[in-house]
Amino acid sequence: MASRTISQRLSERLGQPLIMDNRAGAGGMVGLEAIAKSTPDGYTIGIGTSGALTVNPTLRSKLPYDPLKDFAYISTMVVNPIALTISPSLPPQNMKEFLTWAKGQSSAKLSFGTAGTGTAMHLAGEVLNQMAGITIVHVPYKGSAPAAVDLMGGQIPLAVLDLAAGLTHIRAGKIRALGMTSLNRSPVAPEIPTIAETGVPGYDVRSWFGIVAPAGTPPEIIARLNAEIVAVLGSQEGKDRMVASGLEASPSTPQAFLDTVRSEIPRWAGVIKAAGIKLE
Amino acid sequence: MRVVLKLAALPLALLALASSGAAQAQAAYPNKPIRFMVGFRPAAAPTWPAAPFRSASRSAWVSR
Repeated sequence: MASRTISQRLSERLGQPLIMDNRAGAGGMVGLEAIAKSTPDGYTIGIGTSGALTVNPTLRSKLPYDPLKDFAYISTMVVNPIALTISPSLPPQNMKEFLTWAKGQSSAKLSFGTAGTGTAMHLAGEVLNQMAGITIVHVPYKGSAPAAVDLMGGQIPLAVLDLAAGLTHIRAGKIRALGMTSLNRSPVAPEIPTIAETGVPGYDVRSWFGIVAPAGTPPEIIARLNAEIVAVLGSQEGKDRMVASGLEASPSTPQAFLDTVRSEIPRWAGVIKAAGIKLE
Repeated sequence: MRVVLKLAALPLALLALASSGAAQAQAAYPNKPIRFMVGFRPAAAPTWPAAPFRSASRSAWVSR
């Protein structure tokens, strides 16, 4: 039972196979552009990420789609849990100690590695700067894994990592997790407190993936897809499957998904402009 | 008068017909495979969001 995949469950419920079509490029934008230009008949759907739908409208000068006009939102799918982490060789044992310690350090010493410029991990660090009144300086890597390697090697003191890349090292004691960036603790690692509960009230940065269709897809088809996706991801098997992959199942209504996109576009625009983030 | 009543009823009849058609379309959906676009390379680091959707039996992967 547990070995069956989410797609199998979805295929079974829909009575049709899902044909996975990789359209890699530009941080997920190529795939989203292909979805936006597809026939809105319910036979083309795909993944939309928080970065491609809510960050890139500010970060990219040319976006090949309009997030608020070109898609029909079906359901959020998963949240990618993220943690602020520190080298175990440094004194802070928790978020409160870190904030006190960081305020006494030179910003030149407080670099944080992430999976790259404009990622949720990068934005999480900048939001921390803005909300906690500290100055940690971004160091972009090509993915979370090399950032984790440099953190363990002592090249950088801090990293903001997704748990898929960092949890093994955290549980092995090679990396110390200071706090989760989401408002609530993650079922993937419930032992790690949130940044919000341990020093920065209201702090909440999430990276998510959702499922979208081209704008104009009939509402009854969107409703059917939503019902099946919610049933699969909302099941205990679906939740367990996602946690095993380092993710949190987070199905939603189509309206809630659209509301998330609508609210996050201006939020990230403010953070990006305040931090002066630019793609090189 | 009878003609006027029939004309007045026409939009309702059309609406009922359209609703019936939509219901049938919904009931018939899906009747062919659904293409699931993933904006990442199969072996790339962020492939994992889609990995749980990979199926051993009923789904297939197409890379471009």
